[in-house]
Formats: sequence, C-alpha cells, structure tokens
Amino acid sequence: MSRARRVVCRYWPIGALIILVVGTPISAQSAEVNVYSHRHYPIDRQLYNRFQQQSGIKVNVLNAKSDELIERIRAEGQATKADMIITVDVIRLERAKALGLLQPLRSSLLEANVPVELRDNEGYWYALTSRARVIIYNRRLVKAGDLSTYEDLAHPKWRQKIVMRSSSHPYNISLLSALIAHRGVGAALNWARGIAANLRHSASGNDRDQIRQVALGTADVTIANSYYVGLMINSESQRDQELIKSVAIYYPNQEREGTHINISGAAITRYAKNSAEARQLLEFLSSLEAQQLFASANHEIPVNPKVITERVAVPSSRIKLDSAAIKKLTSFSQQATKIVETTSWR
Amino acid sequence: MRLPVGAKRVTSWYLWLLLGIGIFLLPIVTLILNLLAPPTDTILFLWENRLPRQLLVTLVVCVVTALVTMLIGSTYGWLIARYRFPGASLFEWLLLMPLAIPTYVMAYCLRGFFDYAGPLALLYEKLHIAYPLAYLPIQGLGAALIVLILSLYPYVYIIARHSFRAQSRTLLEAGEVYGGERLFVRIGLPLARPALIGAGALVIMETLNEYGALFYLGVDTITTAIFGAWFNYNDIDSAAQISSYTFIIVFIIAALEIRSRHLARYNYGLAQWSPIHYTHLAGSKKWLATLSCALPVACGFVMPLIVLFFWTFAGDSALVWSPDLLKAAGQSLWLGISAALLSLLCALLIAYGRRIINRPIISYLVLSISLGYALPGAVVAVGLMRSISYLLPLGGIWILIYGYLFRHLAVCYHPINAGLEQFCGNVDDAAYVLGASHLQRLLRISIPQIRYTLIAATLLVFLDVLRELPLTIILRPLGLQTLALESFYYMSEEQRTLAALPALLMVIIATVVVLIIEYCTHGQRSSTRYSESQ
Repeated sequence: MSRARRVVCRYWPIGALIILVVGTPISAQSAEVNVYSHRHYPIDRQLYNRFQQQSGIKVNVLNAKSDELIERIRAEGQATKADMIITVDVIRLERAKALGLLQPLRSSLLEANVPVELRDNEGYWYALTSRARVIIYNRRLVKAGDLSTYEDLAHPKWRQKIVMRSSSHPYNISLLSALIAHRGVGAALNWARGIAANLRHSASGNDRDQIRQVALGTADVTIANSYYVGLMINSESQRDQELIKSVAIYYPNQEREGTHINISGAAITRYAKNSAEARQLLEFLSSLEAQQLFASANHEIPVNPKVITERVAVPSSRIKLDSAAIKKLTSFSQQATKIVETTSWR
Repeated sequence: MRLPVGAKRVTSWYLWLLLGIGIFLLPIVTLILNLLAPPTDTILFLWENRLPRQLLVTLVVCVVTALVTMLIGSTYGWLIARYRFPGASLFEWLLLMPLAIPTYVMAYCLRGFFDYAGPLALLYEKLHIAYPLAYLPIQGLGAALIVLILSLYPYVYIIARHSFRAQSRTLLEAGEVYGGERLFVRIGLPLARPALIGAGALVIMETLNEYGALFYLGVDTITTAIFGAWFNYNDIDSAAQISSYTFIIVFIIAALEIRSRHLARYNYGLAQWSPIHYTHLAGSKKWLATLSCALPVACGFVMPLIVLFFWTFAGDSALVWSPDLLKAAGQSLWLGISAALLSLLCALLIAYGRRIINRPIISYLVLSISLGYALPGAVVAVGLMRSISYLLPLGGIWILIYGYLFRHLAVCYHPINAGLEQFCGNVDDAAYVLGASHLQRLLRISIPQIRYTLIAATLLVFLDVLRELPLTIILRPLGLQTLALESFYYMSEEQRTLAALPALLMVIIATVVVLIIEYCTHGQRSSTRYSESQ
C-alpha cells in the first residue's frame, strides 16, 4: 500500500470533521422578511433586491412547491419562520386560509392596486399577477379561425392533434374547475374524456415541452400558460427564439366567460414575526414599479390596472379574461381532481 | 457456527444498539400507526381508479430494473474481475461513472441529447443533413427503464465485481471444469448471491423512491399516487397511508430475503484465498467485451456529460456564473460530509451490534429502519415533520441531517454488514476465544479489515446526499442552497443554461468521489493480498 493511500485512509475522518465544524451554516440579519415561495423566477430575486435597496429590509426566500410549504408552515406552528407565502395557484392560498395558517390584512394601498376579484374578500390573500391559460397553435397547421373555445378541443376533429401536460397539474385542475363552475360536472367530465381521446401521446413534460412540440409540428395545439411563449421569445436560446415564431397564442372563450386565468398570489402567515415588513413587501410587489417588471420580464398579467404593457404574450385590455371565476375555483377543485382520475389523460 | 455470547459482555452493546435503533425507529412507528386507521375515502376512490394500474406499473418498473441491472451489473462485474481485454483496466472504473449522474439529470439529458436544439441536432446541422430525430418521443415506460437501468446498474456492478474478486480461488479452480460461462453460473453467481441480492434490493429501493425522472418522463407509479393524494386531494394522511403500504410490501420482501439467507453463511477462510489470475480474451471475443463495456459508459456517462457541457458552454446562450453557485457548492459539500460521517458511525454501530447480538428480533428491527430508504423522500420529510419536530426544531440544519441519516442509512449499512459477514468471520471468532472485548475486536479486527468498504460506503452516502432533493426541499433551513436544488429548479423551469452549470459542478464533485470509491475498492484488493502474503 502506498504511503499517500495510507495517509488518506488513516486520517480522512479528521479532515472531514474539521470541515464539519468549520462550515457552520447560516446566520440571521436584523430587518428581514422570510418568504416561503413557490415562484422561482430570476425576476423575483431582482424584485427582492430592489425592495431591499428601497426599504433596507432583507428578503430571505425558501423555494418549494406550495403544498410542501403549506405542510411545513402547519408543522412549524407558532414557531414558523415564514412571514409570507407565495403560491402560483389560488386554490393553494384558499387551502392555507382554510387551515388557519394566514392572517387578514387591510391596506388601502393594496385595495387600490389589486382589483376586488383578485383579492380575498377578508384580505387573507392578494394576487400579484394573473396568468392566462391559452391555446397555443402551430401557425402552419392551424388557422386561428379553426379555434374557438376550450370545449371545442374535445371535438373528435382534433383526434391525435393535441399534446398536454399532466391532467393533475394545478394549472389543468384549475382550468377544469372553471369548466365545472361554468358548465357543470357532466360537461367537464365529457370534456376531459374528449381531450384524453384527442391526445397525440400520453401526457408528459411541462408547458414548455408542449409548446415546443406544437412548434415542431408534432401536434397542432396545446393548452398552456401564455407567459411561457413570452419567456421563449425572450429566451437566451436562439433556437427557442427561432422555433417560437411558428406558434401563436389564441385566447379562447371570448364569446363566453373569457379566457381562463389563475393567479400567483401572496399572503401573510398567521404567526408571522415580521408582519409589518411582510406588509411592506406585499405593497411593494403590487406597486407600479414591481408590476411593470412582472409584465415586462416575466410576461405575466399585472394585477395593477394602472400598468400598461405591450407584450406579445400578455393579453391586451381588449381580451376578455375570466377573473370572475377565480374565487369559485377552490370549491370545484376536488371534483376536478376526481374527474381526471377516471380518464386516460393522466 | 455462532459462538455462545456471555450475557454480561453484551449488555452495554445491547443498550447502544437499542439506542441507535430507537433514534431511527420513531418515523417508522409513525408510519405503522397510519396502518391502524381504516383506509380513507381518498384511498378507496383511488383504488377504484388509478391505483391498481399504478401498482402494476411500479411492480413492472421495479422488477425489470432490478433484474436487468442485476444481470448486466453482475456480467460486467464478472468480466472485469476475471478477464483481460483491450481497455479492461480503464472500464474497471469507467463502468462506475454513471453513479456520478443523478437520475433526474440523466432523464433531462437523455431528452436534451436528442432534442431539436441538442448536440446531436447541431452536429447534423454542421454536416448540412436534415435532423431526423427531432420528433423522437423520449417518454413513457421505455425511456424511464433506460434511464433507471443506466443510472442504477453501477450499484450492482461495484458490489458484484468486489464480491467476485473476493471469492475463493480454490472453489473457482475446482469449478474450472465447467468452463467460462458455466463457471459464472454455477460457482460465481451462487457465491456472490448475498451481495447481489443486497445490490438488487438497493436498486429496488432506489427505483421506488425515484420521482423526478419518472414524473418528467410521464410514468405513473405508486409515488405519483402518494404525491397525488397529498397535492391534489390535499389529503396528507392518505399519502402517508399509501406510503405505509409500500413500506410493508418492501419489508416483507426484505424479510423473506433474510430468512432465505439465514441458512447459509458466506465467509471463507483466508487461507483458501489467493488472487485470481485473469483470463486473457482473444480474437473477436476481446473486442466484443470492449464494445459491450463501452456501451453503458457512453450512454450513462459520456452522453449526459456532453449534454451538460453543451448546455453550459456550447449552447447558444451565455454562461451565467453567480456567487450563489459557490455558496451552494460549499453547502452541498458540508451537508454531504456531515451526513456521510454520521451515517458511517451509526451504520457501523448497528451492523456490529447486530453481529454480536444475534437475535432475530434485532435483525428485523434493523431491517425496518434500513428500509427508510425505500420511502419517497417527501413522505419521509412529512413523517419527520410530524414525529421528530418536537425534539429538533424544524428549519434547523440538524433535522435535515437526521433526515438524510434516516433515509440513507441503508446505503451505508448494507455494504458494511456484507463486509462484516464476508471478511470478519473466523478471525473475529478466534479473537473472541482469545478474550478480546467487543470494542477491541471492532477497532482492531473488523474496522481495519473492512476499512475500504467503510470508506466506500461512506462515500456512497455522500453521493446520495449530494444529489438529494425532496428532503432538502422540505426540511432545509432558510437560506440553505445546494447544487442539486439549483439545478433542479432551473431544470423544471427549462432554463437549461442556468441549470447545467450547477448540475455540471455536482457531476464533477461526484466524479471525484466515485474515483475515490474506486481507489478504495482497489485498496481493498491489494490490502487483502498483503495480509495474505504475511
């Protein structure tokens, strides 16, 4: 056995222990706010940095899925470090509210910045942005005139022409919940079955994957959130920029209730230690400056009506959006989940 | 033959062992308690719809992955341990390299490789040929099996190769009458059985808790059902209950394995042991061997590496370097080392304790705690949040490290246990007769004898922690960032350039670790030879 090997083998635990002791983690700061967030876009970091510059309050973020964050806040109880929770789905905010994890907030600033249908009636949560779930179609294979509603995509004429992400993803559950709200359980079930029958192949991948497949011509249409198109237009990848030119956005159900939207929203936790700071952050995120950035950098729909954006993937004010259904989604989400369970659209 | 043990000498070990086991038993007890409750409405509903199919798919995935990895892992192990052919000494460690690629990264890379914007498409473009594979549907069961097999066969290979090398030459020589292939089937495989079955069990557990890759490829398994119950039905109790069912099934399989093995002990006296002489392959056979070894290395290591390098450097977007990345790398290393060292300590204590106190009840207790590995990480995390958060503050770093220990103890425990069984039989018994205490024997006989196994086992835990996702996501304190998290978040947002760099760093660290593991396994061989020549 060589000398070097002998030294390594004899003394490695000592070296390792030194690293163990020296590398102690993580310290705290004075003015700060702790955010448990489902959002993990580069733009979020930018916004938090701006907030820190303006207010001197540091924003600590813990990223995970909403359900994991909710369960954690629940388990942490009164000792929770979370001051604010941010989700990408109204149903999760309502869930946190129902579990008694949130506290109401009254702020005239927020009430001015966020339209009434995009915030909780008692002030438990406020939307930061809304996101439209739209039809994305291949320009070469489909004419805009062929498209009309979500319901139409269940028609047999689309057989083998649709790709979708998993039906149990919150974005699809939300869409289906809206369908139940407007048309009833039976119609929603038939719709899900129709989509299942029209799928080109079994559901896999995320919204971007579906959009790429449509762009490549593997499928004709998909349903996806509109900001993905915007993100791909502004992608660092030139190929994505090239590819995205072959698709277009269609805002369905204009003759009816409008295109389905869900929100990305924030709430202050019940046992927040820094609730004043959290309130300040929430107000900042609804301000003109922050809202402008949400729209211009991330192509999400700003909630603040004073913000004017001209982004390809952000619907203009002429587009009818189904904001009225936002607060109904939660009550139908369980039924929606059960519906997809019985179809072959997994 | 087991020696009778004096009750007095054993008492303190009994206490230590029970304490060690007790620490890890808590989350298991929480799970078992779930079973006492009647099935929830959610489970009944799922059972009428998706659950049977998910169970079937899980079964298929587990069985196929375990069988294929055992087959190719042991074949490569045998090939490398017994034969020489062009590149054999190179493939000896290259065959391990897929270990350095986390399964979910492998899945992303496989799709990325054939992607319209991937390296292959670029090559076609450079050659001015239309790219024919842009529509290649890389998804579903087939793709998932390929990914799982590629990333898990090294577990079997490393254990099989090691075990074949340690086999008694006398036995193998006696078996030479059978000739090459039959020697493998009649002597090699049966002798390596405990090790191979252990490796197979490891593969099954890895498969059961795999989520990221399978979900990405659209395969609907029992893990999807667990998360479905939690996320979609907002019913975490049902999720825990489904996990308990999984746990029971795995427990039964593992217990059966123990029972069947109970009859045979596999250590052979060192006196009969001498180094194996390699058979040199000739003609077409040697090139066939080279080619067959190159295949998994190319697909399981070179391909993902090309994709990661491509995304990082050769892609059509600028490389992004952030100071956060360095911080994440530091914290990843810190977490990995702490968890690995602590699990070495626990695993050694428990494995040796179990050896001394050879009671069935202890064996089953040990078995049940080492099965934490088979549970999906997120479920373990929830179990911990519910059971242990009274003792350790949530969001503290130690609850996360405890989670790692609980979850990855098996990775460390099984090789150590196998090592003790294979190497420390007679000498240990002799020392016992000569009056050495348990601690003396552990420190002076067992640890030196299996020191390389110990290092390798510790590093395996390090590797697992380095790429761990669900526990880290749910239990980490605010501000903790790891390479795995960085790459996973950007991957799931399809920001490949941002995702590739942390993934690449992770792979580089893992590669170094795998090489050290390999180095240690070599050490094992040379040191055994050394002790024999004395």
